[in-house]
Amino acid sequence: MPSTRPTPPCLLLLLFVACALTFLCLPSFATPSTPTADVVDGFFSRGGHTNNWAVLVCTSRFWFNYRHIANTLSMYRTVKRLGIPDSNIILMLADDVACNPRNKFPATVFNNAARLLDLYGENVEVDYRGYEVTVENFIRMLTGELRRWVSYLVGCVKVQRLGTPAKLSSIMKLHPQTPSQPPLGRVSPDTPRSKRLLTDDRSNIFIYMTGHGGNEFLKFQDAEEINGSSVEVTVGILTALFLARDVLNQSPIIPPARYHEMLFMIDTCQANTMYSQIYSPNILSTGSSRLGESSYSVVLSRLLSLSITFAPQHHTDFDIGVAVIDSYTYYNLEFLENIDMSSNATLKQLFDSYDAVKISSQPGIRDDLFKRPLDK
Amino acid sequence: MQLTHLITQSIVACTVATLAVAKESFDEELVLKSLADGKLFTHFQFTTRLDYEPSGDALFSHYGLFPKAIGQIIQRYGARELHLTFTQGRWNYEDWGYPIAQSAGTGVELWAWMYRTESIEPNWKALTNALSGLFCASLNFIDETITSRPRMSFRPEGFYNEQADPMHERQDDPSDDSELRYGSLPHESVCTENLTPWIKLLPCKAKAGVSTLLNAHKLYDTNFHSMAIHVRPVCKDVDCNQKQLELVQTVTSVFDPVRVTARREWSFQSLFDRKIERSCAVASLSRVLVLLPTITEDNAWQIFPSADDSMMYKVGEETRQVAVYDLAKVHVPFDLQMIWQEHIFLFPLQPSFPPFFAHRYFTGYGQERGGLTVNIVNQNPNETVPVIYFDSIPWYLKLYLHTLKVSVTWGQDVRQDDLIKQTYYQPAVDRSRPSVLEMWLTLPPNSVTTVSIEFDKVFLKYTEHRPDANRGFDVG
Repeated sequence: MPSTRPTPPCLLLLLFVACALTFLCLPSFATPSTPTADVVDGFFSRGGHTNNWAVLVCTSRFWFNYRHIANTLSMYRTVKRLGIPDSNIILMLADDVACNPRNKFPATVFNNAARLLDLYGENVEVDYRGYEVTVENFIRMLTGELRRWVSYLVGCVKVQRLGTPAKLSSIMKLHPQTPSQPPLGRVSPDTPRSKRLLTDDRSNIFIYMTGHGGNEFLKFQDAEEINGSSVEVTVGILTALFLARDVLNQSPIIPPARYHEMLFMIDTCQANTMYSQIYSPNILSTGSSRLGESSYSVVLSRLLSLSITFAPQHHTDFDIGVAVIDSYTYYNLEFLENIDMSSNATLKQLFDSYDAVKISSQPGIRDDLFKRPLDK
Repeated sequence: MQLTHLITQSIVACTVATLAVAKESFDEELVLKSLADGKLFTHFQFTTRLDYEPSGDALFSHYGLFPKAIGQIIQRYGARELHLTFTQGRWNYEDWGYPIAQSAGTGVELWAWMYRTESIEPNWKALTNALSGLFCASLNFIDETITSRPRMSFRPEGFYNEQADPMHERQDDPSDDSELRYGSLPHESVCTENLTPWIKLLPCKAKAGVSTLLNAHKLYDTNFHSMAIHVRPVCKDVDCNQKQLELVQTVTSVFDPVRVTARREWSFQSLFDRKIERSCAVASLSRVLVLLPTITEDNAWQIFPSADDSMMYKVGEETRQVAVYDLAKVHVPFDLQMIWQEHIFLFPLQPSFPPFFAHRYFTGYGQERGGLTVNIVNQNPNETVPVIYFDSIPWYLKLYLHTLKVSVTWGQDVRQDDLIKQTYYQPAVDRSRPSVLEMWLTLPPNSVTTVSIEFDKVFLKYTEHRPDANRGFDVG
């Protein structure tokens, strides 16, 4: 296997020399810590990232999947409100429910039976819509701007289309690549900037996916599926890792090249199985339900009091006629709506607020790959 | 020190102001017209013009009022003229007559004259992708399987020397150096995400002037709405020594106040849920025009506030009075209203057929074969009307040219050879290009001409069906 890394002894020597130079040559300045300096320091991230990106995917089509569009738009509204600009958000909606002829309230999408909040608003930018939301476009968008040092990828992942396995390799144009070759562009060169994921190694990415899913798969638009290993391969490419069939147990040494940290949130049936295959570093995953469990939409009776039943299609708006939000996303929003850009709330607080009884399923959190403690 | 500073600043400001005034202009207009069946036709039109100032390879170097996004796309991909429409609904010619601006079919229609270079095909593909990113629409689906090159339809509208003698040949024939490309996506939906970037192309955006009335929640609740951009080069003077690039943005919609109140009255507040709070400062012309109803009974209708100006508008034999409101002079907030003195609106029993309209539909049933029929009606009692019929059929409908029949089904009988003056037919290539049928027909007066052709439906691979295959395919 071709190696592009210097040998360990060389690396150690270089490190020692660098440290020595730092300590001997540079005088040490002690910055006085003033209250203002502390406040300024507080603006910079404690995690070390410099920019944020969000990829929000709704994979369901048809009017009765209104709640999946509403889920995704709720997250869109939240990330925009908390400061991520449209240029750093990729929003993929598989169907248009706001201007759907069945929608009694044109150009609006609600996530609440009381219709308190219009998620569509005046200023929404949908990057991939309708038939463009496919597994291929999702994977191409995530792996698009590939760096030179990705050397080899074995296509052991299938993109399933109703029983016909097609090798991911045929899409990925796999071949060994040396650092001297130009980057592998996996998106078409004509792709506009608003549809590209232009992250770097200091970007924190939030990936949110919702739709219909099952044990290690997520259905795209009733026609195709993406499975858990595809997600890992896609994410793995972002890490510029070398992946091969016989080194699945090797721990990664190269740091991620296209992201700093990633939060992968998924709200489907049996969602926690989707991230079970991920082993790339610095990924925090959370899902709405365990293996064997379905995810439900929230119940809200006409009197606006909460009650739980185990039948789907509740939290129904009787004028719109379908369920308008899923419970996992609803309770995430209950927490997120109470914070704003100046908040110091931590992920631990978010995860502690999950109540399996209220959500009607067991939400999962996978943090073994995530280095930073959740309460920082 | 302060004085010299002030003088320098004012000199700079004056220079910038004169430069800006000479190079660009922006006009906006809103037209309102009551239709015969109680509906209200509204037409917003925003025109921005930018002088050509070649510098290096670029046609323009400075963008002020003219949106840079459009200017750069036009220059980069070598588009001489560009027309893009987003429509939902069907324009009801039988009841509404003709729209002010050119009407378009449901979904997205894009046609452009591209400069004829070696990279015209890559440029067209890149143009559709760039527009898809700009307008948040799936325009990138307009590829070679959908794109067609009409030969007879569509006249270019730019660089036409309007003052020139119409008998002489056009001095600048666009077909010499550019080719027409046409593509349409009938199933494309139109929603707020398309309106938002469209509004951002306007100088005053949604903050001042007529564009403040564009409320997506009300606009997408209408019977018909169509949003368009048209970019074309125009001549500033008779000899066309000075050229300009003109961007016309229009929103046409048909509101139905009768649906809500059972009466025809309307106001800005009831239609758009907004009033005009301030006029656009950079607009050289900003006005609202109301085509007043032709009913002459006393007090059948009233308009508030009363117009400070009016003009007469002649269409055919009909002359209509138009109330003109100049937004720079009206009292703000400006809420125009029209009150009708009627208890309930009575729908007219007689439809008001326009002189010329057409009806296209599919015939047959099943998954194997079918037919396409078009009825073209010419209601002129004395005139023979020449028309060019253009149709672009996707490749999965195999047309059989020998089944093409053109005949007069109502009115004086004319032979097919006399009806068709010229035909252009391009057969489809599977998965590669669509069929194109263009015919120059001369319709006899007071007649219904029927064009029909039969086709077989191609047996598609299951991967070629849409994800919502139960819907079938939208064909034009």
